[in-house]
Amino acid sequence: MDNITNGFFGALELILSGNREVYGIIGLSLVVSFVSVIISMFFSVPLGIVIGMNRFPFRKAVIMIINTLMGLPPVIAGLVVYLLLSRSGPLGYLRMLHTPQAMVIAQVLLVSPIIIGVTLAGVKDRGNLIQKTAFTLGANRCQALWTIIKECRTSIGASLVAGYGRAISEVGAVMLVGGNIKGHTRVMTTAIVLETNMGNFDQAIAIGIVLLVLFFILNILLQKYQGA
Amino acid sequence: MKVQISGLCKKYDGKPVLNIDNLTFEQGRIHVIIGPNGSGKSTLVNIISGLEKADHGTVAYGSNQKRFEEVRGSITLVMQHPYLFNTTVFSNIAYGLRCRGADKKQTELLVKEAAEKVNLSAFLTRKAATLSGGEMQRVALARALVLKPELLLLDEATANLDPESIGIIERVIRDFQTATGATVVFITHNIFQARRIAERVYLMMGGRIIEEGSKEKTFGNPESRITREFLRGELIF
Repeated sequence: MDNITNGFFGALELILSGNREVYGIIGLSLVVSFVSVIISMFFSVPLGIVIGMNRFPFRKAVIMIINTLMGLPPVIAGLVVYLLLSRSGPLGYLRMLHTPQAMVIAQVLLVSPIIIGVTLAGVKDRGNLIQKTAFTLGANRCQALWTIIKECRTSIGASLVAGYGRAISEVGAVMLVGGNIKGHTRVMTTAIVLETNMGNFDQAIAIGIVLLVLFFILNILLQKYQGA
Repeated sequence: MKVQISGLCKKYDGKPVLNIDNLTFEQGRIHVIIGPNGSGKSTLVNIISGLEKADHGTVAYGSNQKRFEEVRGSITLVMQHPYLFNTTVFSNIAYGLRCRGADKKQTELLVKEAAEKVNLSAFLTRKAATLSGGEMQRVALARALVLKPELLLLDEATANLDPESIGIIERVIRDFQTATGATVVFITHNIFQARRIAERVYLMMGGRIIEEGSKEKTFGNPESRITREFLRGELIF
């Protein structure tokens, strides 16, 4: 019990005193996850719209694969990226392993199925009607696509928030491809694992509190989007 | 805009839903298509409006027999359950004009004019989602008319509406047609409504045109036995 109490008060002190290491870890986590979601957004949202609105052979199988990948274990995503980026891998010459860029690639792999899946579910019922309406009013393809995005913005917003939640909370992939290097690739989740193993509960709890608060904010955003 | 249809066929899952040898909608008239559910009326209008492709056959537009792509900007469709964009009434009516790159002042002027025609001047700043069914349909009509189409298609646009909205929509369509000389193709289940607004009437059944003629002839002295039975016994609202 003492561990928890002391850790909690130590954590508050670390947060309030503006500890550089803790805030550096928080900052990197936020940036890596944000960049991953933004990169993924550019292809996942249009892909979700296209799959949601069109009938094509094996569509059901494609949706089933996306739904399966939504639950993709992070360590598997990490393993794939690790194998690709390791020295003997096909992309080894890029020397990206154990860098924030590698973490972004792994997180893009993880969040894309979520963004595609949630967007797809949001547009499949209304998308065609919106497209037809836009089309009958003279919109071209780009204008119709932009109208669909605007009209389905709540679903798309929810998909991005859900994707961000997934990215910032996962530990396996970033641990594998980032290497948890202090001041370089250490993010909130990997830091919690490390500090707990080392018995530095105050630092682990401090980061845990921030992660929890962040999740609370993400949930508020998600509910706002879903309720809108 | 004249519309000439020849050899038009459409199947859904192998089942034929439309089979029209020849059909012409002459320019500058109000054409009303009546017929029971599943007779192919909506499919026909969807093909004319470019929303669906026919399996066989052609639809030629205008006296120069143009393709759909060449006249796309001159055709609008009002659906039975219109989708109104999640924005204001003003932005809904302005949508097509903005797609065409109309300038702000002209858009504002035309939107206000269109809203006035459908008695929605006081609703321009309201969110479209807060409107009643009749008001929504009037917005959809204003949104189509503001583009001044040469061919206006209406697919059961007054079904399930209150009498006031039906009256407004019918009046606006008649006024628009008289003022612009546009061609109007109107689908309805309501035979009374067909009598009120039609110049030419078409009865569709099983994907075919069973009867075609002037309002007076179709309702007064129809050629087909099926038309007589349809008009006598199966009044559909």
